Parts: sequence; C-alpha cells; structure tokens
Amino acid sequence: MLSLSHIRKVYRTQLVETYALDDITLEVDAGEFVAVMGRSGSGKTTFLNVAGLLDTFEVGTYRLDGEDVSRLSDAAMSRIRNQKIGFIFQSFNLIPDLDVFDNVDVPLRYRRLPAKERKARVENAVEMVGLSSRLKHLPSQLSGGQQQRVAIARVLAGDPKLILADEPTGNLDTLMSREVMDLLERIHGQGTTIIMVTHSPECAARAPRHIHLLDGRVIDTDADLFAEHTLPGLAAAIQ
Amino acid sequence: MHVGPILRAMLRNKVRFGLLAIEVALTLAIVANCVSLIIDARTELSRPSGFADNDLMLVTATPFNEAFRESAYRDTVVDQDLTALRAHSGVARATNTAFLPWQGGGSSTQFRRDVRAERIRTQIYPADEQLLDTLGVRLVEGRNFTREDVLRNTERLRALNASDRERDATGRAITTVTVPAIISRAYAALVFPEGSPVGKTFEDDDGDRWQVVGVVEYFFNPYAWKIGEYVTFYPQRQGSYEGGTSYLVRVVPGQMDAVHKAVEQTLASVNDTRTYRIRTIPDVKRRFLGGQTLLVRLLTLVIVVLVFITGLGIVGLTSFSVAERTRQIGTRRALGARRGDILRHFLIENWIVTTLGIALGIGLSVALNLTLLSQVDGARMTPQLLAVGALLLWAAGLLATLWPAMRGARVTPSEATRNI
Repeated sequence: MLSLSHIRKVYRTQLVETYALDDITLEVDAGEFVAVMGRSGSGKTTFLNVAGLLDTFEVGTYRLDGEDVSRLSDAAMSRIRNQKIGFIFQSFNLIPDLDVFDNVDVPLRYRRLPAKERKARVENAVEMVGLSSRLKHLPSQLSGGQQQRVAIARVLAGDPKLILADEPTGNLDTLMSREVMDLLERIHGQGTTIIMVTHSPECAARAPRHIHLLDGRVIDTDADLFAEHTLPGLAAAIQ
Repeated sequence: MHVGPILRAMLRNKVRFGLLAIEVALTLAIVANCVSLIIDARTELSRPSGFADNDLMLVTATPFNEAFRESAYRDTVVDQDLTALRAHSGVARATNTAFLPWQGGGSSTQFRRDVRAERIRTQIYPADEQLLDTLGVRLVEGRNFTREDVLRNTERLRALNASDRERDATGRAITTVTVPAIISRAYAALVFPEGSPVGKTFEDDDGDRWQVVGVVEYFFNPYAWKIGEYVTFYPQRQGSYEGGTSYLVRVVPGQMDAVHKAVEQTLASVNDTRTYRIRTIPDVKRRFLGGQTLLVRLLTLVIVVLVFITGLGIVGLTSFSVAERTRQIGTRRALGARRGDILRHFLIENWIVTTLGIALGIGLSVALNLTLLSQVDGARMTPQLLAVGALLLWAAGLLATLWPAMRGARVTPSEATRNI
C-alpha cells in the first residue's frame, strides 16, 4: 500500500539544517494498522505529512497504492489526498462555521461528486459514527469525542484506501478515546489501511504493528511495548 | 461550486460580512449619485452656446464724464467707438450690447400669446442690427433687425420710459405699442407650438404687443432658471452713464491677443474720459464654469477615495479571513482542495458580500437620488448608471480580494497538522 525508500526531509534556515526525516525506508501493506510512536521532535508529524502528501521531501522514493507519488504537481497531490487518503487530526480540524453535514461534505465537494451521491455518503457516514441526530449541529455544539467522530465520518464518507491519524485521541478523555479507538478498529476491520501517530501506549496497543521514530529515523518496528526494549534509548523514546 | 456552504457559513458571521455589505451599499449609493452629478455637470460644461465663443471679447467702457448722462452725447460716442473698433483689421464684427454671455444671468421677463394664455419666461435683451452676426447665431426664419428698427424703437422706448404711462384698472397701458422681436427657436416652440412664429405676436404685462420678425436657430446662455435656451431680442441702442457701455467684439480667428492689446487705445482715441474692462469670452466662460469644473473634480476625487476605501475594507476583511483561517485552509487543502479551490472560495465569499451590498446599494442609490432631486436640479438615476456603478464595485471587489485570496491559496496542506 505504502512504500517509502530512503526518504529524507530537511528543514533549512540560514544557520541550521534539521533532518526531520533521515533515510526512512518503510513498507506498509494494504489492510495493516500501524502505530507510529516517538517522542516530541522525533519526526512523527513530518512522517505523517510526507506519507499523506501534505509535504514534499528532498530525497527518496515514495510509492502509494502502486503509484510513484514522489514528484507530483500540487494539483495531482491534492487529487490523491482527496481520493485515496483520509486524515484524522488531533484537534479534529472541523470547519467551525459549517454544520456536521457540511463538514463531512467538504472532501466530497472537492471530488466533484453529484449532490445526490454526496448526500447519501454523508448521511451513511454520519450514521456509522452514531451522529445522525446531530447533522445540523455546529462543531461548537458537540463534545470533543463527537467532533472527532464527525472527523472520522468525514474520512469514511470519502471511502479512502489509507487513513492517516495524527494523535486521534490526544485531546480526548479516556472514555472518548476508547470510543474513537473502537471506531478505528472497526474501520480497520473492514480492510482499510491505517497509520496512526500516537503518544499513547494504550492506543498504540490496539495496533498490531508499531514503528518507533527517533531523530527522524526508524529505530524499531514491530516492537512489543510491554516487553523489554531491544534497543538502547527506546525507553526514553516512548516515554 | 461551493456557494451553498459558503453562504451558510457567512450567515453565521452576519456582523462581519454585513458591515462590509453596508459599506459597499453606501459606496454604490454615493458613487452612482456622484457619477449622476458629474454627468449633469459635464453636460453643462460641454453645452454649446451657439455663439462664436472663442473669438468673442467683451469690452466695458465706464465714463467719468458727466456729459455721458446725455443720451445724444452717449449715442454719438457709441457710434464713434463702433466705427473705430470695426476699423481695426483684427475685428470681424463689433456691436453695442447689453447682452453679456456666460455671466450665469441677465434679464428676463414673461410673455403670453394673449390674456388667456399662460405666461412663459424668457431671457430678454436689447439688440442692434449687428448683434446676431457678432454673436455668430444663425437666423433661420424671418429677418434681422434693421438700423431703422433700432433707431425708431430706441426713440419710442425712451419716450415711453420718460413719461408715466396711463393705465387701466388692471394695470395695462391704455396706449400700447408693437415692438419687433427676434426669438430663439426653443422659445418659439413653447409660445407658438404650431407653425411658423414669424409675423405672430405675443404680449407683455403692459399689454404691448411683440411681433416676431425673426427666429434664431440655437441660443444658450446659462441662467438661474431653466430658461437658458429661451431668448427674445428687441431693437434698441445701448449705452448708459452708470453702468458704462458694453461692446461685444468678434475678432478674426487668431487675432484675439492683438485686438485685446489695441482695444483700450482705440476707444481712448475716441474719448479718453472712461475706464475700460476688457475680457475675452473664453476667460469669462472659464470663470463661470469654474465651479462646475471644480465640482466635477471633487466628485471624481470622492468616487476614487470611496472606491479605494471600500477596496481597502475588502482587502482588510479577506486578509483577516486568510490569517484567521490559515489552519482551516490547510485542512481544506489536506482534504483535497487545490489552490484554485481556495482562491475560488474567497472570491465567491467576497462576490456574495459585494453582490449583497450592490443589491442594497441600488435601492439606496435611488432613494438618495430622489432626495437629491427634491432639493436640487440634477440628473435622474438611470439603470445604465446603476449598472456601471455595480460593475465598478464588482471589479473593485474582485481586485481587492485577489491579492489576499492568492496568499490564502498558497497556504500549504501541512498547516493542518501544525500544533497551535
């Protein structure tokens, strides 16, 4: 599904070069549920940005769903993001002036789908997250957990092959976090590939596969969080 | 197109967008009415008089010699002045007149066809047999005054003015006279709407009859009332002691400066007990129209400043929207919006505001125009004018939105994952 080969992403200022991603090579198969972990500044968000075509990179090759997406135009990347990738953000990233229906409808409008099809998809997705009675509510009229469920409905409506989740439970309490993770597990259960960046060991534990980043490098994959760490420094990395 | 959600989102920010729509509405109302006033003023500025304005000169000789109190002495000097002026090689025509063009006024009276008819106001001036040719107006019907008309009528009018006329109970003179008259075609059309006016008569309040002997094609002299195109000339010699004597001189084209320099000496050679004031009609006209010209410039400035300020308002609001919604734009980009979609989003948003403002502004423009028309003379608002104003504001709105909207379109999708 996703194949990154020797990816390097550098942030440059006049004085400093920072290697946000340094020679990342990674394969994620279709249908996998992967948790990406690492402490602040380890490159998790940059990894997500690159994987989600939200940002470009200097060196390396990236193939997504069999297609080389390393050097695409801005419009082509927009099209792929819109059709193949679904994003779930830590801060939900709903449009505050749009109600639930219009928020879920946003990516479908950019896909230029007919109104009738969009309506069906939105209503179906909102029903899947259990918010059918809140279609006309604004984000400010919903709880944090409900807002994240709207964001998940927005993803579901687009029916993407890949879901990238950036700390999806970072702003939620335990109960809400559990609900959201249950939803992600259900979605994964239907065959969708999910890559989730998280600090939370409880959330990471829901994912069968784990990737640990440190200073822009993959330092471990498939580590068992509850076992003895195999690499020096990993304990500090996941605290 | 995303008009629906954009409109719904805007309705949740009524104050912000409403204030801008009101600003656009006020701008349209003021701009449309300013343009209406400018068109009106420019029409007045470009309106022809029917005279050879560029070659005309007005000379006023004011005597300080008591001998000028005698009309016979005065008439002699006037004849000598005219002979001297006409002898100058740069002078094409010269006449003694009480009609001073482009002063914004003159003398007027009311005539009617008969006792039962409605009185119609007209400008009225004495003229000699040279005035029409000197002015350059074209006689299209009848005849010009003759020297004999002028002399006979001058004598008769002076005699009438010298004695109290005997009147009946209604104030009309017992003994009346018939005065030859040359009128403008516009006035003829009002008094004699049917057929040729030549030979027909109308009367003044004294009961004197005025018989049309000629019709001039076009005459316009600005007047406080709307009687600029209405004129009646009657034959009479001019010249008074108090007001001085005025001469209208038409120069050979290109000779204005030469004549201007020679006039004073020419008249002084006839009689040097006078002071002189010499003005060219282009100068008189420029001074008279100066107010209108200033009005046009001020109103143009008002339009430019208003449109600029409204444009700044739109730039400000859009810039604020872009800055405030950077993360939101990033989210939209992450969800698949292309740069063009973001650009379009802001353009649609501002188009809606501008269109709402224009819709309000059209009503406001008409209301303001009706209020203005009830206070002052002016051009009525036309659909074309409103359309031009609306197009101007649409274009200004579009231009003002473009720059901040393009900045918005450059927001990267990675803004969506930036933690605050």
